[in-house]
Parts: sequence; structure tokens; C-alpha cells
Amino acid sequence: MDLWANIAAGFATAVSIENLAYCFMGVFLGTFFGALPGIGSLAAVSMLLPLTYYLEPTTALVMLAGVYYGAEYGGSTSSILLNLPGTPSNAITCLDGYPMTQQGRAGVALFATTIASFFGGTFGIILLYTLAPVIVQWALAFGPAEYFAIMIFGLVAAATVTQDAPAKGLAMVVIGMMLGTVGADLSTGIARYSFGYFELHDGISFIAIAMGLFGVSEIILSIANNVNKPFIQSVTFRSMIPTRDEVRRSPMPMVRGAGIGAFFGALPGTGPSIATFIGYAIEKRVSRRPEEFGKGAIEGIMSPESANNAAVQAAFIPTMTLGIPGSATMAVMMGALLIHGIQPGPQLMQQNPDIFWGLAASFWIGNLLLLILNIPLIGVWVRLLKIPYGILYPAVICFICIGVYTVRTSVFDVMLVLMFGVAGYLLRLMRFELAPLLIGFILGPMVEENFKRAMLIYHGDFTRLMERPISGTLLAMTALLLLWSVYVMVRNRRDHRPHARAVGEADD
Amino acid sequence: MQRIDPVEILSGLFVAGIGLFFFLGAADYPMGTINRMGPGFVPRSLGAIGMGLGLIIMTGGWRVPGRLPRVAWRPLAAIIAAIVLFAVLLPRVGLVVAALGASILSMLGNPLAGWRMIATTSVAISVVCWILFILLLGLPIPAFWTDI
Repeated sequence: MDLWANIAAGFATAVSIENLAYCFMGVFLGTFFGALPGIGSLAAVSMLLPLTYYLEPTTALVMLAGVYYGAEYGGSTSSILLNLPGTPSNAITCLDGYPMTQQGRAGVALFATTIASFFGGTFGIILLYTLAPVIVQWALAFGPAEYFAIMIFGLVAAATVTQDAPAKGLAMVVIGMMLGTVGADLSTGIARYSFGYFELHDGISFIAIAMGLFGVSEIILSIANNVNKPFIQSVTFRSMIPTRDEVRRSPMPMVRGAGIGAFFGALPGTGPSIATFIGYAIEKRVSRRPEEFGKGAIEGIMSPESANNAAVQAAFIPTMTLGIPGSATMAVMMGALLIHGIQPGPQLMQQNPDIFWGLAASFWIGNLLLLILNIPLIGVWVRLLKIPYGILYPAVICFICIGVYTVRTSVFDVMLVLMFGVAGYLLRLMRFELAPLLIGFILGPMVEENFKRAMLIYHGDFTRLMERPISGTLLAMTALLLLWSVYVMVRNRRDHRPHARAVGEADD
Repeated sequence: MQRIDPVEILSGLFVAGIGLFFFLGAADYPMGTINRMGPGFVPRSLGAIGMGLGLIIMTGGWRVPGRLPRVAWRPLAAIIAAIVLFAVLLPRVGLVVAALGASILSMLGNPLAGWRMIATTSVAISVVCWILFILLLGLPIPAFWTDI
């Protein structure tokens, strides 16, 4: 089948009544949770995962993916109106979005970020369409050495890029990988670190880790910071019209943002948050008016929002073609596929083409729906932001408990959520970032497995990994990243830079 | 002003401690050789790397001023109690009562919540959970003690 036939078949799958309905439900709930400050895409996807157990795999994935990219659209709303990021990857949008609100131009900012999100999302989808089939062809020839090198590079990049404290990022990855070793060893069946708990033989439930680290810890932190919300201005259609100058200044940042987002999204391990930080930094550097940044410059919201959504869509590329999650949230989505008995990887596109092409087609539909949800219906989300947090969080706690319990009908997992929730809260107080931990946890067992296989093939000779072109290049880039982080640490120490963040970020 | 940053020292100790734990724990599993690695090889190496990273993090807190962040004890205690109560109640008296109890306890973490708000919100949440998860989605969870 050629590309066009696949695309057509994908749309045929995506426009079935059931898939359309769940796509709408996904993007609607995604925008809803994204707009609420404190619930990121990761917590939203984990929380809604149990709702999809009884659906067809394609439908389940269409809905969860809708939640993921919908949350990135919705997240900018509270960044702009409240100066509170709806999801961590919208945090950068606060820098210039909130000043625009203070100048009474919230409407323009909301309109502009929706357009940027749509553009970035579209760019990511086109990349998915064109790159995925190519990568699958390569991936069939990949051996354990290549898989090992790709994952190591992704893990080190996730831990070190944009971090003020690379050692802490790396520590989170390593702790995640250690937690990933819990459970029966694949080749010998020895139950590692199970301490006699039968429940730990299959490993720690990753839903419990995700919901604990990202859901529960966020709630504890948010109750403590339960500030009175500022007055929310109403948004009319008239107020959404940008000035001619802003229209002229917008396209290039949007294009650059989409490119950056697509790159970091497609790279396993690094996700949308990193893409937005880098997108913003680059805009500030290339701008002829860097002094306007932080005071409501339109470039400062266009580039990160475009990068954000491009990264989300591009994160599906490594997940669907290599079986390596592109971001922490993608890891949860991959878990959803596994629950339905589908193994993501190069074989997926051949064995279940309807899943891949149907999902890709649903992205177009979902992004169009989001355009409608976020421009004509923006008033709904503005009103939603007026619901007090004190009423929402007890409901979220119940949903988290029910969701985790249902996965394995296990009270043990509910207690694990609690443990990881408390640990996540304390780690964030200690300025650790949590997304690298989850990525380490997910990739850890795959890294171990591929490393063991590679060493078996090459008789324990590590240099053979360096001689292969793809794995050698990636490992060399990893070494450069590590050297660069050492430089960052030494520089920070010399400058005695105060720590920029009071608490660590949660998800991706 | 303090000349050490206690956050970095504690972070380093924490990471090194976890590393040590996994390093020692791996002693029970066969290491194997480099071309035929046993189940102990990777956890033991990760433990060693963790201990090293912990030391590096600790040095970052040396001769840098800083202070410990404040722990929000009340929300922390309320959320812990709510989830424990949920785990205890669910298999014994069913979802509706467990959700009711968990909402009440978790709302005690918010100093601004009055009794009236706690009562109405928690009843509403347990009814929503019942309708959504049992009646609409049909999850295999007992709704009341009669279903167990």
C-alpha cells in the first residue's frame, strides 16, 4: 500500500462514529484538565486511562492522545489569564502571556496561542506521516546496539538539557532505572527487590508511579499554595483581533518553534517542556527587540506554544516506530497499548496499520476540534478557571485512587501511589525534577535488555558499540552532553548562581 | 548566613542512600560476566553510579548559602490519611463510602474549607464516582458493602 492509500484508510477508521465521539471526548477532557492549573497532561492521561480499558485499542488510543494534545492547548489558557501554568510545558507562556493580560490584551494572546498550537500540531503530524514510515524501514535493521545508544542518548538529554543542576537530573534518571529493575529478571526469573511482596514480582505498577509522582505530589503542593485567584477578565471576540504589527511578527517564531518542538519531541526522553524552554531562549536571542520579552512580546508566546504542540505530535514518532516513548506522557500511552496486548515497535505499522494510520488521521480531526473549542468556545474555559481548587482536588484524589485500584484490583498499588506521592512532594521540595525519573523507569528495563544482548553479541567488547555508525555517533553525542553538563556545573559553582527554582517541575 | 545549602546536602544524601540500597541489595543476585550478565549486574552498576552522583550533588551544596524549604504539614497529613482510608475502606465497605471518607479527609487539608463545604462537596463527589464508575462505566468495583 502506498502512502495515500494508508492515509485514506486511516481517515476511514478515524471518522467512524465511535472514534469521532471518543476523539471529541479526549480533546474536550484534555482541554478541561489542561486548563486547570496543577493537572498536567501526564496526570490527565493517567487518570483517564481506566476509562479506556473496555474500548477498542484504536479508540482507546485516539481518546488518550486527544487528552494529551488537548491538555497542551488548554494549558496556555490559565498561563495567560492567571499566570499559573496549566501544564508545566505551558510555564514559559506565562512570561509574556500574563503581561499581555495585564495590558488588557488577553483575547489576542489566547487567539494567538491557539493558532500557534494548531500550526505546531499540524507540523508535528506532517512529520509523523512522512518520517514514521522511513524510520520503520531503518528500525527493522536496528540491532540492540542501536536501541541501547538511542535510549542512552535520550535519557542523558532528558536529564541534562535545560537543567540548572544536571547531576540531579541524572540522579533522577538513575533512580528511575533502579526502580525499573524491581521485579522478575527476564532471563532468570529471579525476583529482584521484591521483599517477599508477591505484588512486586511483575515490577512496580508504572501507573502508580506516574499518578503518585505527578498527581498526588502536585495536589499537596497546590493546596499549600492555594492563593486567591486574581480577577479574571472576560474575553470577547472583538478583543481577540491582533494588531497588524503582531500579525507580521508572528509567523517566523511559529515556524522556528515548530521545528525545535518537532526535534525534541521526536527525540526519545525529551518532551515538550524542554522544547518550549529552548524555543523561548532562541526567540529572545534572534529578536531585534529582546528588551520586550517578558513584557508581552507576541514572539514569546508564539514560539513556545508552537514548539509545545509540535513536540507532542512528534513524540508519537519514536513511540510508534521504535517502541521507545518520546516523553513521559507517551510512556503512559504506551502502557495503554500494552494493556490492550499491542506491542509498539517497528512491527506495529505492518501488523496493525489501522491503529497507526487511524490514530494519525484522528490527530487532524482532533486539532480541528481544538481550534473550535479554543476560539469560539473560549468563554467556557475562562469560566471553568473560576471553580475553586478546594472543590476540585478531593475529586481528583478519589479519581486517582479508583484509577490505580482498577488497573490490577490491588490495594497494594493504592498504597504505592501514596508512597510515591509523598516521595514526589519531598523530591520537588528538594528541587528535583520528576519527569526524568519516570522516563528512566520506563526505559530502564529496555536499556538493560538491549545492553545485555549487545554485550552477548559483541562478547563483552564495549568498543564494538562505538564502531557501528549510528550507535557510535549517538554515544559520542551522549559523551559531549555529559561534558557540557560538567561545564555547566563548574560555571554555576564559580558564579554562585542562586537556585532559580523554588520547587522542581513535575511532568511533561 | 549559612555557608552550606542544606537542600543540596540532603538531596545528595538521598541519592547516595538509594544508590547504596540498590548496590547492597544486588549482592543477593548473581553478577555474571560482562558478556553474560546476570540479574545483579545492572542494578549493582546503577547503585554505584547513584552513589557517585549523590557525592557530586553534595559537593554542589558546599559553601553555597541556602535554607530548607517549608514542608506543608497539614495538606501532606490530610492527603496521606485520605488515601490510607480509601485503601482500607474500599475492599470492606465499597466505593461510595470510601470516596466519601477520602474526600472528607483530603478536604481537611485545606484550612479555608468550612464544614458545610466539606459536607456538600464530599457527598457530591461520592455520588459522581458512583454514577460515573459503577453505573456508566461498569468498573468491577463493589459500590456498597452489599456487593462484596
